[in-house]
Amino acid sequence: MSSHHIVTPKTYGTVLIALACLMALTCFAAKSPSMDISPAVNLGLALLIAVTKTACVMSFFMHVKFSSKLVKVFTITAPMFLMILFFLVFSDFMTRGGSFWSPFSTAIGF
Amino acid sequence: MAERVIEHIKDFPERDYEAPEVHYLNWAGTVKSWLFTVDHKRIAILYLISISVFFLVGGLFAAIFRLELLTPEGDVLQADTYNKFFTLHGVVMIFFFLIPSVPATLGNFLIPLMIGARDVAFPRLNLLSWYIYIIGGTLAVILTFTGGVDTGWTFYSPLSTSYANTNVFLAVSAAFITGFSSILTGLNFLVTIHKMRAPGLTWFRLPLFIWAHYATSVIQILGTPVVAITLFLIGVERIWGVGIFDPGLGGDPILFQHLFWFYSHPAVYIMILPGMGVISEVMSCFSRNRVFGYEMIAFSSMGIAIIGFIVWGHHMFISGQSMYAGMVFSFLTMLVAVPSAIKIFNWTGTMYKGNVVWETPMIYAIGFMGLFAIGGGTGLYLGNMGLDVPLHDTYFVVSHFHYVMVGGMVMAYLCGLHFWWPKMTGKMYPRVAANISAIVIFVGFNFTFFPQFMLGWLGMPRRYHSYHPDFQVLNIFSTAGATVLGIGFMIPVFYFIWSIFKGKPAGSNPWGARGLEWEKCTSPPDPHNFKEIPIVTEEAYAYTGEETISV
Amino acid sequence: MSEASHPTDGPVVAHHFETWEQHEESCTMGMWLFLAQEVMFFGGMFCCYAVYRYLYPEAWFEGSSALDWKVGAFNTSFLLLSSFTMAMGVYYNQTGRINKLFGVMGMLWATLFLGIIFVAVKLQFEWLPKYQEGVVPGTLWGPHGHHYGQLADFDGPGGQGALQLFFWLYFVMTGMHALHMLIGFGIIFWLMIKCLKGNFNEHSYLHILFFGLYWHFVDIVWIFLYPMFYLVNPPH
Repeated sequence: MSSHHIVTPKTYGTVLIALACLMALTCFAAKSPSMDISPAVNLGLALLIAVTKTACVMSFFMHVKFSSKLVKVFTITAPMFLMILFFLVFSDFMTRGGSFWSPFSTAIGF
Repeated sequence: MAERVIEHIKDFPERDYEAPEVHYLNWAGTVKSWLFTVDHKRIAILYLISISVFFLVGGLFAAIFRLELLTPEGDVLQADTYNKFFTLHGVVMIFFFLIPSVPATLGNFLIPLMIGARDVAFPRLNLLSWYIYIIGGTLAVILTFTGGVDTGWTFYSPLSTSYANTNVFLAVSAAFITGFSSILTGLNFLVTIHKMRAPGLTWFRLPLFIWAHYATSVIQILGTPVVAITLFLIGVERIWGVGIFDPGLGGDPILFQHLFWFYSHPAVYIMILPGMGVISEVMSCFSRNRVFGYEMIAFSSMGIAIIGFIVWGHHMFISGQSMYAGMVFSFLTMLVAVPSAIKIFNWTGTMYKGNVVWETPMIYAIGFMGLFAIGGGTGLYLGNMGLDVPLHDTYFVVSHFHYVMVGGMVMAYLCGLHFWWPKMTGKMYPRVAANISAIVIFVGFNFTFFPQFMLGWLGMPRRYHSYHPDFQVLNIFSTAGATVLGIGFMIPVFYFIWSIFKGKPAGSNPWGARGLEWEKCTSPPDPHNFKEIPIVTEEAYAYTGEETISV
Repeated sequence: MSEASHPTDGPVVAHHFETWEQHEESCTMGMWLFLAQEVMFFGGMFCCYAVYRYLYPEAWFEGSSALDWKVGAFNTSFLLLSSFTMAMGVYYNQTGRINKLFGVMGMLWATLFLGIIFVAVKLQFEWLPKYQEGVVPGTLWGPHGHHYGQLADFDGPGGQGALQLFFWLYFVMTGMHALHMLIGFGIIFWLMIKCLKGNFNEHSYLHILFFGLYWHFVDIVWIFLYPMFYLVNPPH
């Protein structure tokens, strides 16, 4: 009767191991002297790993991989609207005093 | 309990003009059966009563400060009291009237009926949302009696966090709590519309009222939490003394405005979109014509919901926001006019070559179109960054949003109430009195707010209790108009209450309207809405032009 | 509808639904919408974080280097493990093992235990020392002692004010996260009572499934909070 997909303990265990590895990786990427590249790259790496972990948790622990298209759409809606918030807020903070546009405006001699 | 009710339900009476013996209003009469009801129709009535009370309260605040503005000197109210009155007017009207107005009353009542469902998807959550609303409302009432708040309904930091000496914490708590009532309503509607539709009721057979509520619910779910956390941060900052928006620490108050308007701009679409849904229904019914461009109206509702999230910066052109961001926001603001204009155009197209029937709801609907067109058009003035600089914080802005919110939304709300009142109560109101009140409201409204456009254009700033004597004539016009408007709003209260006791039974479909709520339901509806779930085989608004008014 | 509300076998369908599929899909959808609003709720704070990190990168590095990333990693692993136990709880419920150690009950206990460790570590080793050593934004601000004393010397861009912003966000965001965990503990107790009452079986698993979704969401919030507060790299 259970119409819901049953995910096996084996899958859950694999995901847990993957998450543990990713956690070790994010610590390594941030704290290892060999990874001291630039703050922007390190931030990008940290976010990339966090998003990957989130994808693992959502796909398997939260059963999104086995859910209807509707649920999949719902899971990405809120992050997309958050992106709108971030993008437009930063369009303000990054252009105050003309700093963001100055390279462009100098290039076109304006 | 449900089984006991079913035993009492008779077959649907074939005779018109008579209410069914058992319906949702009378199957149980105890106070408990109302306060613990999970019936969406009863919850709608609970909401209707509560928001009417708040509308009255908010209106009283407005009446008093309109009286103050009769003369240039500050004589009725002192400056501080005046600040509190316009703030409370804004807080009460926006959070406790406009946002729940159509969705929580008409939406709650009609969505399950229109889609052929027995109830909303989560009936207990629906009741919970009303209780949350009441808790927030109680805080707002306590706030009023414990000194009020004087920051404006926008709670701008650092005024609200560092400088105001009034009860800001209570005010943001009230708004914070009420926000969750709005979220729960939106959540309920989205699930209901997705999962509870009757067999055969495909997406493009849905009434446009449903599409409008779908779009509204999306905004409620995605926008409200952001303002909730922002108000929470303001509340914590208020208690803790320092906080995230505190310029003393290097914090940025403009960040508060960004987060606040990320919700509060889409919130104006929470207020207006359901009203547009009402107008679509009424226009089609009383033009005896299928809605012109059904798909375009449906998509324009969704378009407004999404574009509404990318225009908020037009509230902040002179706040210190980057000029470049202002330009982007100004361009994006022009976009949102497109779907709104499509709606106005399509409603006009619906009337074209239709058999227009001049009933009360139609008078309201036509009033809505004119007033909303003015309100929306002046919104474009204000969305232009260059023009906004001189007009910002003048009465031009006040007038603009009252044209949208009162001229648009309150008219649409009354329009819907007059349209579905026979369905909700089974009784017809006196239609002559209703027509008169519709016209009184229209005239009073224009008398109140049109002079404010002129005042704003002349440069009278908003939020001051005294003003230059040169502005007095127009202010007298405005206050006189507000009196007429107030009287206009009172008339329906009397005849609606009168009609409950003495009104003529309305019959299940007095307007000759199409739609499941009219064609498959008694008036007032059965406690379980339908005897059996209807099967839908045709598109919405299949008007032939032959329908008759049968009251 | 009356026949639908009296199933002889299988799950109980609420009176206003026609079928069990409709019931289950509606509830699932409602839960995901609730999580969507939670995402937006936390999202507002993440936006504040991003803006201030952009404005005051030096203060962010200074503040972050005062946090113990090893304690954070320890806590992260416990939270990830609790997500796993919760997921196993859903599995046991779907396969009908309820009041057993390797069943829903055992998994709820494990989740609760791991969650309590997380919050306890947070209180004892993170919030309490900060309070004792004056790392509290506002009038109490005055870092001293051997853990946080070096913060008082920070005079980079933004100065002590920007540092206070960092810790204000730290307390509010981890605090809101911890509050969600505390609410989760309450729900776990409620679910345990329902377990003992025999409310769950292989047909009736939505409560556990949805609490699992909530718990995983709280876990995901921490997945982002951890690198954002503990693993900020120095600007060059």
